[in-house]
Amino acid sequence: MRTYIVQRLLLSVPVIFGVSLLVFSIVRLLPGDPAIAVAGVHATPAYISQVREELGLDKGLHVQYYLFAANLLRGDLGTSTFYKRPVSAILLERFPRTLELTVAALLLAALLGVTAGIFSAVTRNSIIDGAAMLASLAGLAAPVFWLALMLQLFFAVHLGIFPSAGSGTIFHLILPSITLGAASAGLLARMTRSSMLEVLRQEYITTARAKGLSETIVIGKHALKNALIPVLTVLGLQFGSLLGGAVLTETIFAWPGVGRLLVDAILTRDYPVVQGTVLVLSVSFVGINLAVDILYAYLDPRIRFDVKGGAG
Amino acid sequence: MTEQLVRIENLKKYFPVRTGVLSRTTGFIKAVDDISFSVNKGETYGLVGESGSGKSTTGRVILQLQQPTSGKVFFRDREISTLNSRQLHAMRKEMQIVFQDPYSALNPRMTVGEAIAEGLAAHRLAAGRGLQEMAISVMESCGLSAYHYSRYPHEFSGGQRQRIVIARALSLQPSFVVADEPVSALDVSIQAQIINLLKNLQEKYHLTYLFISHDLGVVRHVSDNVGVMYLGTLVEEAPKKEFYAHPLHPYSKALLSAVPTTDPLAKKQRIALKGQIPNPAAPPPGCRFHTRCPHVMTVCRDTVPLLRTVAPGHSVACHLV
Ligand SMILES: Nc1ncnc2c1ncn2[C@@H]1O[C@H](COP(=O)(O)OP(=O)(O)O)[C@@H](O)[C@H]1O
Ligand SMILES: [Mg+2]
Repeated sequence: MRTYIVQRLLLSVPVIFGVSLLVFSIVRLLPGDPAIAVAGVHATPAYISQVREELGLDKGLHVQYYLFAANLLRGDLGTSTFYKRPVSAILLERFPRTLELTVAALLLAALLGVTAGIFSAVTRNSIIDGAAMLASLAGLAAPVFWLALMLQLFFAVHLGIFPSAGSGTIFHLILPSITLGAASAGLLARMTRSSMLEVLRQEYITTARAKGLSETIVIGKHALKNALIPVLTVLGLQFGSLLGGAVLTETIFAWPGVGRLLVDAILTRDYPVVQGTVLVLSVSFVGINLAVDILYAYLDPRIRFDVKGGAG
Repeated sequence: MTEQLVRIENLKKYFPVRTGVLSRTTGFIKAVDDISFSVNKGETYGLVGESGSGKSTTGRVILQLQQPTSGKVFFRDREISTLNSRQLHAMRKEMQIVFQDPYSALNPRMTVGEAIAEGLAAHRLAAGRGLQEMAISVMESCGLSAYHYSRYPHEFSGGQRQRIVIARALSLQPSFVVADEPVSALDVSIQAQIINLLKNLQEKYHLTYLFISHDLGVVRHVSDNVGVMYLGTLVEEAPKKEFYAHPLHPYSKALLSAVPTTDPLAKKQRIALKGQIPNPAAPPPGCRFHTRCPHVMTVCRDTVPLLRTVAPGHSVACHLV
């Protein structure tokens, strides 16, 4: 088990290196000149080149990357050209807000999706099953901006129970997390249902009943424990994609997370902020996947033991 | 003096066929359609027939793992199809099942010991330290070792897994075991070991078996009586010796002709069955076997042959006999 974790940790080093290189390159492929953005369109050419020098953009790309990477290793993400503050300080402010939204959305999705999936599977082909699957399809298919608008219209404008945008209280969190989590909830409901049905078909479930165990134990202990393993992987992957999805949701709901920060930074050609944000999002993504893999290995004895032999 | 342990009377199990978006019931798969037989205490009843003839369903309904559509199941002369859940729980200890697929039959997330101990605890057969001792003793009588206790199923081969499945079933000290194709998924070399284990355990613990198989060669080794099922009905039933010496139903003859023999002088003609087993949702009228019978007559097409006794313990449902 320990070798497995070390193995996975080592594997994530080249991934993160690759991500840093990719982020660095993509930012430099964006159209527009950050020096002009900082100096202003009406600045003199002399001033612009002075700014360019200050930003280190006059150096060769390989030198720029070297400096970027060296600073990165020291935990220094550079200074925002727009806010004139260290990028790490800005992220430290913004990232927890995104995490808050993402975790809320994920919890909501897991709670709704997994519960609906279990009930669907146990009452297969019933009205409950049909309704739950229809709802899950709706959640999966509804476009984010449309769903956001509908929620804002109904709950904020019409009923006036939740604020339509902004942040500050727990009530501000509700509409954005529903918007962000809806698709995940739908996906998780479907995954849980099919995984449960698959497990319920297994003969050890019949045997468990034949042993005289109660239905609660048969479903809760034998079926659920096995059925939730694949669901957990999807849940972990959803966390990653929710982090990405937060960009749109945050923009719609004026939520002060890294999503909006990123959009603003791209518009102002704020290279260091774009780099820093994407990097932090990517590292979180890699970290979450790593955590899921380790959890998965912990939960499934087949994987836990196979790694000794080298197989995954 | 033979004593009945299990008896079924006019047992039926129909599965509804649902079609369309509204999943309306449009018909029934008659998986088991009015069968009666009994299993004597300490003996083995071999239930044979092609895949899809309703053998497994019969086994499951007897164990009350599925509700019968109609008919009765008696265990020690007590009707068990009407028991309430508490009475049924007590009855479960008495009747266990061994499945064909030793991979799907074991929960991948439970160690061998946990799987066995769980049943023991559920029926209060042991507690605390006694649980492990008792589980290990059953494991050892099934040819497993004490150190297998904390191993997971995926660490075992198919044959060993089947030993675990048998140990798990026997740990509850049942008197009746349904063995549903217990060796069909195993290599031929392993099959003999498992068959011998089942026979030894039967002697040691006076077990009664319902041995389900499509392999008449295997059934010959273990059974005292044989019943042949075709499309949900029992077409022939006889003591083993009688059945293998004088099979009467054309379906039984066809199945027997397909069993390979070791005797090179035995002149055998393989009777090839025409076509596939028909759809159990729309079984043929008259004799269900008439669409594939080499001796089909006009009467077979519209009249259902009744199961008639032709010799002591030997019954057959065929217009020819
Ligand atoms: N749960 C079920 N739902 C619907 N049909 C079933 C179910 N179980 C079995 N059947 C059908 O009943 C028939 C008999 O199946 P089974 O008892 O498994 O036969 P066997 O064990 O002899 O192969 C088959 O046609 C099978 O498809
Ligand atoms: Mg079967």
